[in-house]
Amino acid sequence: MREVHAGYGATPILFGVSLDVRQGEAVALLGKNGMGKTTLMKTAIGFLKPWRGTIEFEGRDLTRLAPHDIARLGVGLVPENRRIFPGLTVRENLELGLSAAPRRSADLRERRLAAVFQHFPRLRERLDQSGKTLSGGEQQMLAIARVMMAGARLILMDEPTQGLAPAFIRHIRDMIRELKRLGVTVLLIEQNARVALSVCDRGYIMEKGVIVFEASSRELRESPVTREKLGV
Amino acid sequence: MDYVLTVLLPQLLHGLVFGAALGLLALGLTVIFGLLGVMNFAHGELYMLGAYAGIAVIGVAHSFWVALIAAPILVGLVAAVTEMTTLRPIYRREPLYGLILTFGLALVFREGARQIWGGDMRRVLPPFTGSTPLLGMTYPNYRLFLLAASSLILFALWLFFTRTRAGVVVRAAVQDAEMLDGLGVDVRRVFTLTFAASGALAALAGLLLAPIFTVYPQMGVEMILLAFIVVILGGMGSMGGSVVAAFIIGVAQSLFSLWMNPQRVAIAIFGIMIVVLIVRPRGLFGREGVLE
Repeated sequence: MREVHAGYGATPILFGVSLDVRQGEAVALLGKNGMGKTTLMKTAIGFLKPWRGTIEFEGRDLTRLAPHDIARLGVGLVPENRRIFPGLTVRENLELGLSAAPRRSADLRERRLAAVFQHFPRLRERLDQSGKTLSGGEQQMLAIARVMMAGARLILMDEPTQGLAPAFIRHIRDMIRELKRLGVTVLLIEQNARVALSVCDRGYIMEKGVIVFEASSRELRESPVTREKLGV
Repeated sequence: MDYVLTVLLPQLLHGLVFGAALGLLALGLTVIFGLLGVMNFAHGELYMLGAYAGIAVIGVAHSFWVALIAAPILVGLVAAVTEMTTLRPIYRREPLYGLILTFGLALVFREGARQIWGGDMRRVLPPFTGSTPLLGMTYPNYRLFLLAASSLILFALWLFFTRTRAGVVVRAAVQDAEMLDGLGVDVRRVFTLTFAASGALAALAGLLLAPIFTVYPQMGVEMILLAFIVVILGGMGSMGGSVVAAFIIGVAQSLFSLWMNPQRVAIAIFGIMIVVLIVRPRGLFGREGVLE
């Protein structure tokens, strides 16, 4: 991501953000509320068109692509507030996750479902329940499972632990580790810096629409800048 | 007893027949509402165009059945082109733009029809006549066909929405189109095809009802008012709700007209809506906060 400027309507939010996520890495994007983290995610998946700057993924320019094209290239979004489809069943939600997969087939569906159930057995139990009947933690699992169905190689996660009980937070954290082990690249937004830095290799701190600090997770944990910028 | 058999029962059946056709109209309307976030004011005109397209096809092919296939396809094409050229550019704007646009489209279609076909009342002859003895009365065959055909289509649509991937995609688009796009579904195409399909359904309802109503450029106006009431009563954006509400309104309209003049019937229909909304502001099957 190079020098990305973006915003809503006439309101600029991002003022030239540059960041890199290397293949197989997990990178944390930290910062207080209202600093533009979510806007960055929305721009990366194509919900917002960048005003200036470029976004590349595996050497392809995403800057002018529609969200569905970006998703089909292997980028998956686990959005803020999960945004699962409340009126659809868990099965239907997962089925839609498969939309971005090239060459959809019954065989691929079975394999991906099996992989998802291995990590989230609870979703199998809830398969024919509608999304709105799930607990917050289960909805978060579903949102992650949805992009796993697509076989996303880069997963953008926006506040996956927001409002969850500690047990679920641990589960999500382990899941991010597991995704990394599977070779998936993760860009993670978190309010909870401790959780984020425990699973990520590196981190960026964002403030008022620009990146103000970049370091490895260990440095970030110990740096006074982290404390100052995040107030932790 | 005589009153029940000769007056009440036929009128009840009339109501069911009308309700089923109204359901076709309201279902398309509620799905488009889910997608656009506004009511499609041009929906009644697509219904009207269906009847006129039917007349045009009957004039060429001399067959009601050919028209019943061809007219919805033609109107569906008109709807698809309309969506791509006028609605698509404004999706990212406020819903108000859609409201004004579809209102304008309704005027264009209505006056367009008047220019092409004139303002006269027209009739479509039913493809078959005769009556069938039923529960001690005789009932026109065409109306029975209308009830069966509409119910069958509604059932087929239910299967489509619950059993097919395409149906699930449309339901997801109604709930959160942007997120669906982010999952890899080309939502623009979904919008165009859904708009075309809802136009085709409206056209089908228009032609199916043509033999028992009359065809004229304004015919969509009063139907759309009823369809709006149905959608609101059923719960904005609820598909099952609009079908149930369509039967309720169809039967209510039919039975009320036994005892009241048409103006009072209209008032009574609004009365039903108002009472339901006071008790349940989201409609019979609606979700809360759907307009937010």
